[in-house]
Amino acid sequence: MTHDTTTPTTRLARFDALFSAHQRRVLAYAMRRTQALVDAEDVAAETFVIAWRKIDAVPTAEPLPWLYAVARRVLANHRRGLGRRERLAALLRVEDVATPERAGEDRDGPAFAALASLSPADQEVLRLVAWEELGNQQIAAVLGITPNAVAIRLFRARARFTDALARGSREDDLKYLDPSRTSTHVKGTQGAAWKGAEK
Amino acid sequence: MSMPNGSDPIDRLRAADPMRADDVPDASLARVSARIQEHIMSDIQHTPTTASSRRPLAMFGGLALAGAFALAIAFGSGLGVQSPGPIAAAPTASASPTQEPIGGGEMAMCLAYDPATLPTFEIVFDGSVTAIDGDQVTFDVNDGWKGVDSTVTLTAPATDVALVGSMPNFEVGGRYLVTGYESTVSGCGYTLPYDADTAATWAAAFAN
Repeated sequence: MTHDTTTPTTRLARFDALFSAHQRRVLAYAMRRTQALVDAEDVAAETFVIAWRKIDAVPTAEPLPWLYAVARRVLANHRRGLGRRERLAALLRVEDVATPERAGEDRDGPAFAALASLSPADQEVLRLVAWEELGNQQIAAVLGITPNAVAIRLFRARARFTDALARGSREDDLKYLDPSRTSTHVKGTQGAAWKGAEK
Repeated sequence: MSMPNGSDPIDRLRAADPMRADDVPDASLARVSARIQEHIMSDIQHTPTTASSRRPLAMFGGLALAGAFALAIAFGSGLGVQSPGPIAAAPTASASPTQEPIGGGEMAMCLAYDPATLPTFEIVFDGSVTAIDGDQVTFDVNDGWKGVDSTVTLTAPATDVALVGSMPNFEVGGRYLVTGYESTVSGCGYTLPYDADTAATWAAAFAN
């Protein structure tokens, strides 16, 4: 169900309510998936600008999956642009401002390593469950697939993640027994730690 | 398939959440908010004057406030600042002279106040605050003009980061004239401490 917001007051009021209710979740979504704070802010801002311009299309009952779906597309475009920007930065020796450390597990920790060893599709469905705390219906809206497909993808991703965690755990045990052995963990790609983020 | 520590793997991932929503930096939200405000103001400024465009008519035709759509724009220093400057609406002749400039909040981005637009809100009432729990404010409704019965609980958004304009500092026992949308209190001068004259104006907006 969508709203018909025919006056600027109602458009602004509706957008205001949308922004107030979901700004933190959308920015957190972006921060979880980017390496630099400025990139996360870009993604969140662009997502809400699109929401403002398409306010009549935003579902009234459950706008958050709609916002995540937009953010997902914005993020994909951003990553494509980032590739170009990084190539240019390498030429010009320009670097992004380092992101603050984040509060969760270290990016080299076992959960991140296990997650990073999975396919992007598996990673995303697990992230949407664990971090965005969405149900299958909501994930289906974000990914543009059916809830049944979400259930199947989630089942398989969960199994692969569990296996990857177990593999990581066994390797850690071997490392403990033989410190000279190096870990084969895949480096996490989930963004930097944000522990010192300014409040 | 073994599971380290016997725990749910999703719980392991949940515990590793790199950025919980409650921990998102306010300064980042302020920068995001400022960016959005710039886009919205740009949209508003550039759309109404082009006769060939139908979109502005759809957006702004409902107000019928010729010349009253005056937006006093005072951009702050933009990105990278903790508190972006105000984008506030100028009060119109129809605004109560006793009120503060409409939408004069730190982060305000508001339209000119006009009581005639009150019926476009989902919720409009005169109410007294009976409880405050975080950002949830419960009112006993003294006079409900639209969308409420005897009591209602609404979310009062944080004015430091939202695009809500001025908003009263709700206190238990205080009496307010309140508008809302989707269970959220509206700002921009459309929610304010009670006074009899303004209440009469609001009641008149629903008289017909």
